[in-house]
Formats: sequence, C-alpha cells, structure tokens
Amino acid sequence: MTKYRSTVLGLATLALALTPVPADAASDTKTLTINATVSARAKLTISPTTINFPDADPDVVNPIPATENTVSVEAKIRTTGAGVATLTCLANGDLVSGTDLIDIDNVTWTASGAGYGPGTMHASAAQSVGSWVGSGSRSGSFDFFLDNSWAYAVGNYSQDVVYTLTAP
Amino acid sequence: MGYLVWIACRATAARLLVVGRGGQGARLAAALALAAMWVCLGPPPAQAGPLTLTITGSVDFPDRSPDIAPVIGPDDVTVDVRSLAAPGTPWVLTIVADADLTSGTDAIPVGNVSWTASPSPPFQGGILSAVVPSVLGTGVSHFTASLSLGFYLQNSWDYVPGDYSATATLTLSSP
Repeated sequence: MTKYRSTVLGLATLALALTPVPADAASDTKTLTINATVSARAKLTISPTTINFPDADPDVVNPIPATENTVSVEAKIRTTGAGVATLTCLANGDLVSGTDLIDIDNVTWTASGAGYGPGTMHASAAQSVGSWVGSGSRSGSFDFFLDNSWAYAVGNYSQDVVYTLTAP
Repeated sequence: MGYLVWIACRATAARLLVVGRGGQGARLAAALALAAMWVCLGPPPAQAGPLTLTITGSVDFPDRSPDIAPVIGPDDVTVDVRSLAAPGTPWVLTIVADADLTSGTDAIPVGNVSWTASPSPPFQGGILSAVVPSVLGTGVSHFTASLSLGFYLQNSWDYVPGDYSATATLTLSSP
C-alpha cells in the first residue's frame, strides 16, 4: 500500500471513529390492571340515643318536648343506582312503669333533612322515618314530643325503639 | 449502525498498523492507525435500547367502610425498570389510565387513585389521570431499578356497589 493511500485510509478511519453514533429512539410499554370492589352497606348514627320527657302540667305544656331535642341522625348508604334505602322505627312496646302504661303512640316526631319524614311511634308495625334512592350520606334531625295527660299514672316510664336502615 | 462502524474502525486501524509497521515510509499511516485504535479501543457503542419494563402484580382495592378506611391502600406493585441506551441518554417513565374505573354504567373517577413511589428520587408519587400521562420518574442511562408503587383509592359512601376495573399504561421511553 502506498504511503499516500495509507494516509488517506488512516484519516478516514479516524474520521469514522470520531463520528458520533446516533442512538435510535426506543420505548417499552406495559399495562397495569386496577380493580376495586364496592359492596352494598348501610350505617345509621343517631345522637343522643336516649331522650327524656320531663314532668309538666298538662294544662301548661302539651305536648312535652324531649329534653334532648334536636336529635341528629345520619344515614350512610351504598346501594345500586336505582335501589331505594329505607329507615324505619318500631317500638318494643308501650312506655312502661311497673304495671302502668302510656300508649306509645302518644310519642310523635318531626323531622328535617332530605328524605326524612315525621311520624308517630307504634309497637305493632314499623313506621317509615326516611327513604332515599342511590348511594350517599344523608344527614337529618328529629324533634320528639309526648302528648301530655292528666290521666297518666305517676311513675318513671321507659321503652326502647329500634331504628332500622336497609340498603338493597 | 454504531456497532458496525466500531467493528470496521478496529479492523481498519489494525490493518493500517500492520501496513505502517511493515511498509516503507509509512510512519504517518502507523501514527494514524494508532490514533484510530486508541479511539476504537473503547467499548462498542451500545445499541439503542433496550428499554424494558416488567410489572409484577395488579392493583386490587378491597371493599371497606368509608368511615373506617377513608383511603384504601396501599396496594403494592413492583416494576423492574431497565434503560440500557447509550450512557447519558435520558429516559422517562410515565403512567396514564385508559378511563375511569367502571362497573357497567357506574364509574369511580380515576383521579381518586394515587400512588407513592420508591426509591424516590428518581421516582415520584402522583395522582392517576386518563387525560395526561403523569411522570413516574426520569433519569439517564445506564439505569436499572426495582420500582415499588403503592396505590391508594379515596373511599366514599357515594360509590355504587360493583366490581370496578381500569387499565393504566406505563411507558418507558428514551428520545
């Protein structure tokens, strides 16, 4: 090989070696699956859970408002889009003091909040307190009243009332 | 392409060195050959890529009471990230959802899903989007890491019962 050709080849080789090598664009893609399970559920909160009707002159105070009015309530529901959740109440009996009774349907309530409604306590059939369509958290309140009467026997009366929230 | 040039470079430099040593008056050729050899003795230019992602697991949020678990998670996923492009080449890892989490006609906004990332840096946490890819991390090659992602779901009483699903696409790219 002549000196001239060797020189040219060497210069060409050096030029090639010094030429930056462009990197090709590249990427990788992967798919991630995300799952979530949501079940139907219902949660009822009432506060306070005990109310008291104080003694009062039937000519002066009638009906008697509960000392604890206003009672707050919150119904939290997860249900299908068209599902109707219901809140009902059912007393376990009349107000009892020993052998004396005050008819439970002398106890009434008023209500505020979307979906809540007023009513009268009963011990034979559950009474509607509220109803809603679909999922959500519904807040409301109750004010309770006892019809007063000179016919009541003296005593300390009590009874339990069961509230039931149902989400289909 | 770069690899072939490197091979040719070494071969030619080697031949020039032989010619330079054996030929008369070819000291210049030999010097050039030695210079080329010095350049060519470096490691071959890495082939563009490979960039590889490997995902282990899926994200599965269980049903929980919103009052007890206002945020569900973390549910962990491991992603092996490898960027073996030419040293110094930048890489970026992104994530984007295909849509909201859906169960029939019901939907949970995908923006209710967020994640934390480890190691951080170079990786970072964020909130999932179905509109704009979110950056999971950036860096330069060569780079390998085992990325741990912890996913979270904002819980709510407003969700309709169902089995929800969505997919998210992770993309590792290098310009």
